[in-house]
Amino acid sequence: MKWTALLAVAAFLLAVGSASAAPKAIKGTVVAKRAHIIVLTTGRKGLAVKVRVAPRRVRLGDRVSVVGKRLRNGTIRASRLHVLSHVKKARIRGMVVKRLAHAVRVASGHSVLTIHTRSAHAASRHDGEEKGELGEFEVEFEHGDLVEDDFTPVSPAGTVEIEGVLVSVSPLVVSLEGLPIEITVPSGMTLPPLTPGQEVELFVQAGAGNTFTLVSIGKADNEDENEVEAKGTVTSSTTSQITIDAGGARR
Amino acid sequence: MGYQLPVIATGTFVEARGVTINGVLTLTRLKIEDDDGGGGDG
Repeated sequence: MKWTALLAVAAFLLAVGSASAAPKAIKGTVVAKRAHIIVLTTGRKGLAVKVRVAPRRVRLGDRVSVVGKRLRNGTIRASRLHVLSHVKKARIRGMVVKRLAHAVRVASGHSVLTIHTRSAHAASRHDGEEKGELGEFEVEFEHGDLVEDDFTPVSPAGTVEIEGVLVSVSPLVVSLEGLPIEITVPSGMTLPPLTPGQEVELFVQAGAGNTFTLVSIGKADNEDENEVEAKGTVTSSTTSQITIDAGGARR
Repeated sequence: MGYQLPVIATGTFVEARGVTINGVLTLTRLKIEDDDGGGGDG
């Protein structure tokens, strides 16, 4: 396998009409599927977003474009969904909330996802990710499961973006899929008007002992993610443009 | 924009990544897949 890495290079020929016409399209990879709900991991950050959809044929690993309305609980109700391509791997950024023998439960956005590990974790051993650890998981889709391929921890001193529902303002508590996280507001910092129940997006500084200090907070908006991934056969190629047939969508 | 893509034979299986900026899909990474499958050890 050889890689040709090209930085901001040339244009794909885009023949998916809806992609350019969708002002609030969210693009992401399906990482979980429940009745009427799919969970997408979006953008380079790999944050999870829940989408309410009519029952249809989406598989784990499908790269989709969704247009819809964000509901109060943070879920997006899709009015349109297009499958763009299918990928084998995805990135999920989140925090380990539970460690199981063969899996970890990871909170990302409003969702808690189960990521299977290739080897068993012994509770007494310190291999694998620890509860409370933040990082970026690279996962592979295997037989309807997410299987951990790689994990890059985020430095405990690093700033992390989280999305959740505001539980209370003082103390500042945000719920990630029912998991309350208390965030310290530095003295002198003035919070914008916030209402419990609203969806918020925060940057927090993660410290030792799973403490979080607020860096910034804002109302969560629909993301307009632009990242696209496709696999397919080349149908034409020049020095400035390449066209790929990605199975139904030419790009 | 200053870079030239390698010309790839029609029918080659590739994996491509890109970003859309102002409606233009710009290639950021292109991976040419071999035919022999491989173990996929990533």
